[in-house]
Amino acid sequence: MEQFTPPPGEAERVVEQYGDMLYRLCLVALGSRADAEDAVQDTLLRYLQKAPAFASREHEKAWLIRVAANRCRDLRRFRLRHPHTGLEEVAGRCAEPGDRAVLEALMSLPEKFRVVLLLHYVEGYSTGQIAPMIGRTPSAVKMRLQKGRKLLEQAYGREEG
Amino acid sequence: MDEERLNRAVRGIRMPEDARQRLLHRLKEERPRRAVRLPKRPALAAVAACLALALGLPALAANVEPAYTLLYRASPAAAQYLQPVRESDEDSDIRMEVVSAAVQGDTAEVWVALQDRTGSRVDETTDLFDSYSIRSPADQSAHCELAGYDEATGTALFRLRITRADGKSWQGEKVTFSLKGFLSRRAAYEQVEIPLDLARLPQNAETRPVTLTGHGSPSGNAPDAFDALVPGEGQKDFPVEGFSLTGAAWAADGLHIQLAVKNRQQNDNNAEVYLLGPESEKTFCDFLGYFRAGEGENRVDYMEYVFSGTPQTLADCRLAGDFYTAGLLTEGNWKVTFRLEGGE
Repeated sequence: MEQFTPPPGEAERVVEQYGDMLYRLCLVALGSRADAEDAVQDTLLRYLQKAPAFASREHEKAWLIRVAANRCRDLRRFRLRHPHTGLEEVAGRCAEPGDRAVLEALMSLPEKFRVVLLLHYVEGYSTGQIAPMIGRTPSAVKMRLQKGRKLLEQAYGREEG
Repeated sequence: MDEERLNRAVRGIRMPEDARQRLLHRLKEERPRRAVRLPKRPALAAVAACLALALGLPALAANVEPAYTLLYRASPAAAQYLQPVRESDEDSDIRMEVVSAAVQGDTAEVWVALQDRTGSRVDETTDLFDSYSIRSPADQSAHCELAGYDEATGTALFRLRITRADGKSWQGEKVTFSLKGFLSRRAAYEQVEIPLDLARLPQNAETRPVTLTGHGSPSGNAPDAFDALVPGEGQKDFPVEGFSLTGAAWAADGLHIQLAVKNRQQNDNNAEVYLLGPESEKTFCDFLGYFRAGEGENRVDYMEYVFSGTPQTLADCRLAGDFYTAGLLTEGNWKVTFRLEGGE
């Protein structure tokens, strides 16, 4: 039976390349530093064990985001948490004080809006690209973006006010 | 809403350095299939410590309570939604119990306890190796990890996550979990220097084509052919017991370092060899090939590491490695059939 070992240095490479991106996605999705670490760990373990051959780095990144998003969803269900905003765990991480308000506004939203807002405005994905990552249709993603943007504006206005 | 501000604020979130180091440590411990698992698990270290005799766990009934105590300590949140299973099997005075399970769609979480009722064959380094199997109505993939260990009762707790390939729910399905053996008494020896003068190694060494049984490379692709060094007798006084240095030489494609392991089916001895630069920075190999010779008791497994370079370009480097061994293989036949329910 053929044995596969990840190439030496692969763990370092994937953490260096994707660690921060996955961490902020999971932290925004879960609102908890400990949970985010678990989700990132599980995602990268699965990557090292089961990742398919990738056509490009973009393909690889999209695969990781999809796995991480699924993992966050599983963690939320398994741990029977109600939406937990974890404001301080997320907002407390920002370097610029002025950014705290927008992060607090983001974390005040339900999780389903936070994730699509992050994937669109921060990672730059279109609704068509986001849809398979989170297991929804493009139209559902578009609706979440529209509503999420509106809710974020309202929440941000309250934070600034 | 200032989208630019949102982008900047979120991008400012970075993984803390301590979390990054924990993650790297954990990823490097885990290996696919023939996993080498070490006792140092940063995320579970505190839990494992709490499970030790020092907490004064009461003298509990050997058959059920240790597993549940472990489960509640390892994951109090999980214990709330898990459905008790409590099906067990015993062989060679080792008791295996499927403690609990829960279903979430196409993924099931199953907790399995292993207890040595008479000795110390189960310890905090216990690894189910790739000796377990899951029989179910659907194709699936599984991931198993040690979740905790209770020294007082000699009980190890494992968490399995089983995912269906067809995406359907596990709810109500019957599965059989079987175990044929496990490894324990494992040890890790990290950054052990291998005393070799790289510049004085033979050049243009003789190689021969071998059939690979496994490989590792940046591309992930298996080469059409691999020319390995002809194994020698083995260097005396290799710094780590359980390994032999059977080849070290310069070939056309660079530096080849060949290690040999006997009884690898029973000890899963494994190593990661690398070069250390003047500042002790690590350079990993460009290719790793696995091959074997002989059968049965005479079987020898080889690991050959290839580093690109020449005696001149690697003149300032030293050879070192991280070595992982297991002291004990316990074989047996444990099998439990149960129905997946609960959770969701």
